[in-house]
Amino acid sequence: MKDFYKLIPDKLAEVISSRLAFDKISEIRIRNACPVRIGYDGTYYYLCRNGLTKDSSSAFVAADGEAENIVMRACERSLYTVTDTLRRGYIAVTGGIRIGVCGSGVVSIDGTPTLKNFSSVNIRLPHQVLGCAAGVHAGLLSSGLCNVLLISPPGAGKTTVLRDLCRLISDRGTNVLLCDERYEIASAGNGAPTLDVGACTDIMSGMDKREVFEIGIASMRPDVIMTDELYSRDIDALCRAVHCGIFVIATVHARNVADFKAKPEYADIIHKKIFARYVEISDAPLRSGRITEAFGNDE
Amino acid sequence: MTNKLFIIALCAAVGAGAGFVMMKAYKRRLAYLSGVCDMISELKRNISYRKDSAARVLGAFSTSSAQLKKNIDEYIAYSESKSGTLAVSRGFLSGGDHAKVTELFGALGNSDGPSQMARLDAFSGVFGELKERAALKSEKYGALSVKLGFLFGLGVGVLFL
Repeated sequence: MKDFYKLIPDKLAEVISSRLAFDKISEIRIRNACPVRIGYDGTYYYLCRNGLTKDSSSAFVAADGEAENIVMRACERSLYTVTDTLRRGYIAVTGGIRIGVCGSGVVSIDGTPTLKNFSSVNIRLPHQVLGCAAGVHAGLLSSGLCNVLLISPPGAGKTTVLRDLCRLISDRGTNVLLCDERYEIASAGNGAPTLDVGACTDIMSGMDKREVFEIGIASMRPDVIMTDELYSRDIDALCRAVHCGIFVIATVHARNVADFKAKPEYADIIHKKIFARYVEISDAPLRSGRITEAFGNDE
Repeated sequence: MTNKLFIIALCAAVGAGAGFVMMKAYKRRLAYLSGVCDMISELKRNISYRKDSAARVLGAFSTSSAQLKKNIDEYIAYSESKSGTLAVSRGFLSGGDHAKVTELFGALGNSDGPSQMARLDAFSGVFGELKERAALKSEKYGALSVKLGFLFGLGVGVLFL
């Protein structure tokens, strides 16, 4: 909570702390010279002097350059600490907060693209919902591990479900290697997770999945690797891990199983039957994370 | 006669005291500049591997210079504040030294890793040179100022009588 208030202007922090329930906030969107939007209890509002409003004219308007101020506060005024993630469009802050950043693209002298002239930020707050993956765990994994793919559109709560699933599996004594590329799952800061991901979980934060799959298998000998947001570039590393006899539980962005299967970049996964189970998470706004269906590979 | 000797001794002591103050000023500046050079080295070491924020590195940095400690605290307060204005107090620093130190603190964290390292290398050169000159000055004139102050005080005492 303290980490969050340090990021935003005092007038916003005062309203949020005095008028809103902190655990209902999912995100706050601040665009330079625009009304401040807030995701609260599953709905979007504008933030105003009295708390929440649907009327943009009475909302707080962010100052020109506010996005840059937030970025500088988030990195404790040391841009070099975040340039690696900034070029991927986000900053991870202690306490599991992730800030999505928009601005103008610029290519540095060594040819690496990054951002300048920050125009807007989306401050996303992590939420741990203990027990939200109990259904998936009981239905799919209680009799033993298998490869599982959680499918949902962005914002439906798949990271929350994955985190809880990780906790449940790990607390049963299974060695889990958690690949937390964007610091969202365990929200590790200074070498320790700030969210409960289980007692037997080893966490690799801020590293590319492909590297974690390679290094982690060799050095940590996990029983299962869990990771968020698979992309087509990760498939080779994923297949290698599975062929090494390690179970993989991952998430992917798609509306549902049919949508996932229709994406040509994932054809290899489907063809090789990498995942024994797919789980759809409902497309509810923000952080509902309700599991609606589970499919076998052959269904 | 006793009074005359007392006045001469007093003048010599005042002169030596003034020389001692000058010697301390040389040493204080040398300690400050040495501290800045060590601080830059520490920042470079950290950026090349851990990449902690400058405020965090400086927070763990220890120095014998009270003025540098104060400037570091001012930087840390600035990095934690929401106002975004950095004020580096001048203390005993000369105008030139103060301008360079303000520029150094102002440059911390404003760029990516390689650029920050290049900037720190440049500052390292500037402050390294200043430190060498200050060390030379302190060595050359430090003890000499006490002696000269003593002799000057003695001379003034004799002339006074």
